[in-house]
Amino acid sequence: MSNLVAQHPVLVVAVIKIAVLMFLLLTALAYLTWFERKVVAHIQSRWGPYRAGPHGLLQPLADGLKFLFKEDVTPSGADRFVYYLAPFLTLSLSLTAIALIPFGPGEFKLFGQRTSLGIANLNIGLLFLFAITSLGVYGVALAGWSSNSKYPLLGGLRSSAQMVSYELALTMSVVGVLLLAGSFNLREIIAAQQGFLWGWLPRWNIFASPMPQVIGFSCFFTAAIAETNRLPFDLPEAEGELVAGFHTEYASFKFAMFFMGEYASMITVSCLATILFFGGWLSPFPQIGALAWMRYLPTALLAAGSAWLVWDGIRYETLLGKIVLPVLGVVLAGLAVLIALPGANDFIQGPFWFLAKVFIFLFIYVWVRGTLPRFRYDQLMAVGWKLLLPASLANIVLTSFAIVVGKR
Amino acid sequence: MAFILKEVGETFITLAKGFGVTFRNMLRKPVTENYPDEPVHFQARYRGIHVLHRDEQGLEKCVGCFLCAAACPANCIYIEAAENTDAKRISAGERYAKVYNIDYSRCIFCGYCVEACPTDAITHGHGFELATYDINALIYRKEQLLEPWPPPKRAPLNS
Repeated sequence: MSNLVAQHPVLVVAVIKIAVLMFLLLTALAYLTWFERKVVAHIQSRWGPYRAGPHGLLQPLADGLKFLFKEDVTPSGADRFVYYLAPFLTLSLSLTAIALIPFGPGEFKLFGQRTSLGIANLNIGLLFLFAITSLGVYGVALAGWSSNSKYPLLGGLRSSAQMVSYELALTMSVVGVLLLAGSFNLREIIAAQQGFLWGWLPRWNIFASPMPQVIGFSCFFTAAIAETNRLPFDLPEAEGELVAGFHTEYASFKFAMFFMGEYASMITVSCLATILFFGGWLSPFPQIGALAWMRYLPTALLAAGSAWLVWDGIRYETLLGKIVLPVLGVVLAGLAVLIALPGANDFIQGPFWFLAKVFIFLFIYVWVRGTLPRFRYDQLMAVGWKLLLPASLANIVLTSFAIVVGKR
Repeated sequence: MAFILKEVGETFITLAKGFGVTFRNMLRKPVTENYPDEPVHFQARYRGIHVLHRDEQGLEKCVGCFLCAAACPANCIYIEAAENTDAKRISAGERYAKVYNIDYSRCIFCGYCVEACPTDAITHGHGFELATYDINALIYRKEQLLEPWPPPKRAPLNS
């Protein structure tokens, strides 16, 4: 082992980082499903998952076990190789995209290697990310085709058409950001958004002078929701018409892979929206004396969360909740103290703001799902081609004008 | 241009309203009942299993007039009436119901029997747990429907 570390330090560090990120990501995916079900339930005046563990916290585990132990049916006449390839493709591509996301500005030392938060730092990061996410359409199209069944076929066709249409608007809408940042590198795009307008408004691309990217962001987020096949654009799996769309014939863990792929791309797109339009890991507050206490905001939030958990845990109905929730609260309190320490505090600022913004986007995803009904297919195409594409093109023209005029 | 801006503005306001509704709803308490764990909350006029009432002396209010059975569209009420005597007085009137059966496999909980009753002897209670493995158990006899006497300290059918 030590030999390996000595010979290929970069490789070992990368593998460790990938393992840690993968663990965190898969946990986040599992609890994202829990979060979504809870929020949608409360929007609809329901309780949501409530029975598996305190506040339904063990629900993702129960779901996972259920997926694993379900019978894995392959429809007769399915093209086996493609049928097995499709869910694998969907999941692995969604997970690959996460590798490019930088989570913070900080660097740390591992086995004598200085390494940053985030797995890869490519100069063409954004292009690569779009390349990877647009390959995702293959997973859906192949799944629909290989199932040898009419509903998946129609779902796959629809989703191919949808993803290809919205791909354009998605890519076009970020060109404004690229013009402002002058780089494809995600870290440099964030770095270009540093500073404050008039001392208080962060110079994130959404507010940036000379051309605030409001149109760009609206187009980007709408297209991104369509690209990840989420409501209100989940036409590929419109259950009223297509049973479950492209994954109708998938059972057991292959279905779970589609499921996880969808949530992973939700996370990727939220990260991307944060990086491109909302300044990534940059704090929204200027570094002035009056706001110096802001650096303890993560600690304060964690402490508040821990206090709530303990308070709620004591009053919880079941014995398991009475034990688990306060223990979780104590763990959070420990974390709160840990990140208040001087060394850790600086390091945690970037990731904290990044994750906070990503969380807000994930919440908006769920909120949109709980609010808007599904589009009709012709409406979907009309929005994509007649609204988003012209709007994002107009955004490019306006931004270029503004930059040229602003330079004069 | 002004037209487009107006439309964008209006769309934004509409969206904000809609999203506001769902956000406010999210902060409200859920209306779902935790039924087996917690008692169910009924509306006051919920029509559940019938209750046969007694008057202040503990005599049955039912006088065996058959009006409820006549009103019943599902024909689920079966009554045998008998004469009250001074030695054996069951109800305040002339006659009383010796047998009073309601077949809950037929009852549609329409409430016509309650409306028909001249002495307010029968009303709908809030009981609803009728499920059984034996269909014969769905024929409730008078003893099962009658208010207990003397009345218990806490009303058993209070929701």
